[in-house]
Amino acid sequence: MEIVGAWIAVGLTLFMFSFLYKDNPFYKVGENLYVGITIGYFVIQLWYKTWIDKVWDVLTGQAHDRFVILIPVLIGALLLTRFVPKIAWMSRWAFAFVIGYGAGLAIPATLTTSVVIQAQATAKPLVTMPDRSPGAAKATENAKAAYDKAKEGAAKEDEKIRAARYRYEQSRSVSEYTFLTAYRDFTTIVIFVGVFCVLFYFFFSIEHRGPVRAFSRVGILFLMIYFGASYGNTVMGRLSLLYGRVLDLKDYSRQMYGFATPVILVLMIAVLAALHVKNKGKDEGHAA
Amino acid sequence: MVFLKRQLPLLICFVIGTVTALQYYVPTNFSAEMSEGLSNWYIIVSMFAALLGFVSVGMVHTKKIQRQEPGWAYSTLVILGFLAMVIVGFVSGGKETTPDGRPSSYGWLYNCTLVPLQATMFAILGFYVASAAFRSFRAKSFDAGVLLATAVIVLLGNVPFTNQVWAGWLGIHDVAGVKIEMTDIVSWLIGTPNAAARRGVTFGVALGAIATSLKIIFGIERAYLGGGD
Repeated sequence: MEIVGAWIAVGLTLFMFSFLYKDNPFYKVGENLYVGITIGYFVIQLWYKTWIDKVWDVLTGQAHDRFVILIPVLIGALLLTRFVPKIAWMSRWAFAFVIGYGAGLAIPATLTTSVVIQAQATAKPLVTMPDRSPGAAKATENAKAAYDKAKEGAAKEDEKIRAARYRYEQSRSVSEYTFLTAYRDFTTIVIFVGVFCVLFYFFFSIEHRGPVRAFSRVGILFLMIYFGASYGNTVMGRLSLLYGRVLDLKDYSRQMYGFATPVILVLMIAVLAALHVKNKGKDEGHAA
Repeated sequence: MVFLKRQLPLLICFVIGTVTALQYYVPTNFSAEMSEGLSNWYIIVSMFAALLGFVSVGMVHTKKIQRQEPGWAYSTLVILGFLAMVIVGFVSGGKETTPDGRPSSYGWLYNCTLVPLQATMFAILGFYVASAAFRSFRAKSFDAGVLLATAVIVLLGNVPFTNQVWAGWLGIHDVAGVKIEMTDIVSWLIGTPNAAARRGVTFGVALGAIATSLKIIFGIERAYLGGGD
């Protein structure tokens, strides 16, 4: 079974990669199988995780109000009236339920996560005052002692000493105003300025001229960093997937899998070359 | 009839939307139970919405096969793939692993078909994103240069080789006790200026989403009703 699975996985992977050459029958096979298999997968998931767990088990249970679950089933079934044009308008009730629920849920969820929490994280003190309490001083002393102990007997600075030093610096940055505290304050100021200038860039009630233009320009620079970082992350995400596929192809090219990768690759290239020659002859015939 | 066709959907939307929004601000046992109940109702109705989409796709491909339209043979693969997954899924009882922890036939089919297909489909996009960037990324202005520099730092900062150069060859580990590695620079870029810009954009998007939700609940935005009567 493992070898069959390897051949199927390699075949489908190479079918999909063949699109890098051009749209071809192998890619179309992979693409259409992808659609069918995905639908099949979700049908099974919906059947067991929604229909059985949330409807059937409730209906066959002992709860006195178990038949209430038939209401959403009926509402959902109304969606299928889309296939009968004369009564298709009944599906609006189901759409109204879904849209209404989504809209109702979006208001508190968006307000909390995207406005209140984000605003709280932005509106922080721009300068940190050192914590002069005895507790903070004691914590720094302990971290210093641990750092000194780690240094004892070590010939050169290693990872253990470095970790102890970081902990000491972290602790010291709370009780005193250190480089690390200044770095944190700098980060807070950058975030505050960035949010302010980006919002200013999208503020169109006044013309962006003079000093206002300066804020807007800074906002653009922050947006450029945002776009650049998003692009870099997207490419890295795709590359990690590519890395996984290439590793699988490499693994499945071993003898224990019957040289699946080279065999399928050679066969595909042969078929694509044959198709190319055949279509070339056809094209020349059309041109003549 | 007009009430059933146009006003009742607006009324349902208003009631469900208001109740869902209000239950968050009235945290009682009753509202918590109602919230859970509504959430389950939503999942059940969504299941039928997915079914609607699946049946539509099935009908399109079945018609194509019946009429033997160009490419109809590929449509049979959609149906075959669907049937294979559904039959194996029912045989395995929808479980991807057996009680002894090994993949079931459903899990096996999932691992050797859906996983490679999905991963390769997205991996291919990597090629197109990179080639599009190669053709369009030109540091013609300072702004474009900032975008390009950020993208390059994020890309290189996540590569082990760059970290080897940074920490191993250049020996940079910290600055005055502040841990600095190549990945920390990427983290700072993503967590500070990038986060600031995203936060600014998020505020705008959030306010727009709230305004649209309110318009939907109060029946001002009614595009979801579609055309006709």
